[in-house]
Amino acid sequence: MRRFITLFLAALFLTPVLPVRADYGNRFVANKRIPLPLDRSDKKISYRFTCAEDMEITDAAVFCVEAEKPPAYLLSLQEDEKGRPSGTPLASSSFVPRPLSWTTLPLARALLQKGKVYHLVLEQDKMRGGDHPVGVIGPSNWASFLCTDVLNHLHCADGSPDPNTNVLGFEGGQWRELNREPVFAVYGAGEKYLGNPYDDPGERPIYGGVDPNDKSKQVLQGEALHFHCGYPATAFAIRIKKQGHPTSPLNYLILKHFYQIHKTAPVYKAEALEPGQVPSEFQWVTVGFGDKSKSNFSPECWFLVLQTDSGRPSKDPPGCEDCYVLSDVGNSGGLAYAAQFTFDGGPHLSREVYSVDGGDSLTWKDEFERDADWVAIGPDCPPPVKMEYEPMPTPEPLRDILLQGKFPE
Amino acid sequence: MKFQPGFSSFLKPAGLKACAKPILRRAGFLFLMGALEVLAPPGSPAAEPMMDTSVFSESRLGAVESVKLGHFAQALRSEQTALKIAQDQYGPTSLLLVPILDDVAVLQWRLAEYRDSEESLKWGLALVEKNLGPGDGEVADSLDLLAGLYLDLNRLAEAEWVEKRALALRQASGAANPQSLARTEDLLGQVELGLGNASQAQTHFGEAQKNLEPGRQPDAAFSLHLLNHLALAYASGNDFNQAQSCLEKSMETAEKDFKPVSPEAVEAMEDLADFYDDRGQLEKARPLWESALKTSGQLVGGVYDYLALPHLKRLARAEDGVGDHPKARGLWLKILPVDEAVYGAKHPQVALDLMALADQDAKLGQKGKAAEELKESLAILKPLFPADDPLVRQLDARLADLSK
Repeated sequence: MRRFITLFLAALFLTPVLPVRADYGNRFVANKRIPLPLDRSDKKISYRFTCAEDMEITDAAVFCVEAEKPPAYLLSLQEDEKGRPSGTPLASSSFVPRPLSWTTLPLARALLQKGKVYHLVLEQDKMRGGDHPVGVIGPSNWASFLCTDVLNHLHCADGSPDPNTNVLGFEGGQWRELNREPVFAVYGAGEKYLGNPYDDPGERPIYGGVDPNDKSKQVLQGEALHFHCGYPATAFAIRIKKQGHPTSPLNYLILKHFYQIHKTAPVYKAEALEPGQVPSEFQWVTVGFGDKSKSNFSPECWFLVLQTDSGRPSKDPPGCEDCYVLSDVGNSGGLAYAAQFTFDGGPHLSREVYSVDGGDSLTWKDEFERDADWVAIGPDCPPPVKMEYEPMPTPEPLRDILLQGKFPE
Repeated sequence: MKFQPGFSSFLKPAGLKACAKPILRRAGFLFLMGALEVLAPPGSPAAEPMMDTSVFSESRLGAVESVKLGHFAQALRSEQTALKIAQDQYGPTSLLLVPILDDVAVLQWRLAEYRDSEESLKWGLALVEKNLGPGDGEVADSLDLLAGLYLDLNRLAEAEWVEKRALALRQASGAANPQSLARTEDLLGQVELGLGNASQAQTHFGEAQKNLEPGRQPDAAFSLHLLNHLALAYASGNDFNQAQSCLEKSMETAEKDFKPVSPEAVEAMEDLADFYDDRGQLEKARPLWESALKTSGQLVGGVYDYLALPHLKRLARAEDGVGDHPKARGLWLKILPVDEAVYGAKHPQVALDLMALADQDAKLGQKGKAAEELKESLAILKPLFPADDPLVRQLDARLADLSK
């Protein structure tokens, strides 16, 4: 049950904690990529996860960060035994990884059950299908595979909890939890997707531009949230920081989106935070909506974006000075159907959006494979109503009507 | 990742993502619907909906209501609206489209839009195969529908191939759904009967009877239907005793399982009377026709609309059976405009009505009028069916008889 958020009379307040789980938006966080090297044959990595729905697995994908004349590696799907991989592959595939890229591997079809814990295990493929070791692994022949630093314990596609997610390392004959976020993808028959495609932690600069009077150069950042029910949001939470010393407040805008012509229309604008209220390191901040009649969202895409008159572009990360920065997570490319794994699934539902021309209504850009850390806070969606539609009866056969000669003599 | 202000995103065309979940569609399409609001300012383009569920459910439920009143074209439009919404929501390859596609196909079939119906059924079949695999038992449901259409179009070789595959799939999935297996056996029996394979047809109808679930309330209407088909198969194989036995059993069952004054009872009486007529046993047929006349007269109300059509047709059949051709003709004259209003003037149903009317006119000695009606009927059927179709051939033969 979603926790009820009490709002103070003031339209604005700060809560430097992660927003409650059931509210709607992307709460998945990553600050940096962490490569896990597999440079010895006795080392293994496991990406542990809970299966979110029954599925018949067909493929799996992992991200190789670095590779130096790498040996072949074996990716296997294994059941869980007391938090560790069972050691018995349900399916496996061998490959030689390529650096800074995803590799998708076919797996023999195996049924995964909803709620059950599984492991995707990476290790050197010593035998490569034979009966004696082949290939070399060591300081000059190795590869590393990706995880990210913050263990979210979430299914990123819908924000549901997964307390079992973790990365495990095997070394010296022992499995050990590394408390990192696994980066992997699992494909199931019937267009089912599970995993974490966010291989690219990001920072999204929000600034006013070189000329404070020219608002057409302002850079705005946000998330298109596609609500799944009528959603009277009371507040929103963003993971934000300031860069340098912004002088103008950070504002939020609610924009209506007309998807057929990809045009937005402004609905509401208000101040979100004064510069002094924004931390210098990324932190979740909750902001109450000023006019609740404007944040009563219908079940469709709404652009929730941030704007400021302060700051200017910079060549160095995060891309601006004396500005604000919104954190996000994204996929760098190369993963098939990556958008389906991100928050709220495919490219026509929730996704990150930005503008580099002051929020011009026709030129908003979509980042289908990225999601800003932005959560709307409101009540639960009502339980779904079940409706049953009986199939249409087929017509009476034409030829039954011809009765004459029906019974031959 | 460093943000690049010049980075241009690739804008994809509108349409919504696919999120298929397997469902038992023949058991009823279970659609999960939240209580949704739809926002679209007047005069502005529609905003991207999660799913326009109010329009979706109104369309689907409206189609069911329209069908009840014989408003098939309206029902088809409603289902096509629902299909568009679902396609936008779930994408063009989702399994969730299949029950809607099936309904669209059935309505196109009813409206004699046979080519469109076949395309819709094949689309649905492809979606089931793609999502669940070609060996899944659900594929048989789609195959049954396609075979039914082919049977109606007298494309018997295709119907046989399709339905044999359906039967193999049902048998492979075990006794999970004997009712479905029975319907597939029945359909295949009808195909074999059309192909002139009487003994194979008997076998399939017999298997269908065996598969009617013994532990559950039997589907009385389907049992009657099977007995009738078995009778046809026996008669086709010249086993008239067995055929008669099936039809007698059908009549007993109809009177037992349904009310004595019921459409089913009238139908069974008329089928048996037809059999006796065809066998030249007029003394046995006569009382049955009289009884059918009396009973069906009680079922026909005062309003001659779509709902009254089956009753009117049974009554006309009974009037013809007892030899009251003026009354039978009068009834067909009442039936014809209703069928024209329901299906359109160029529908095979109207052609069949014209044939029945011509039959009565011929019996009343109005050969010229009958020939005109048969020509009109032929003009409707010829664009829809090939020249060697039994319906077309039968019409040609009747016209030739009249000109003698």
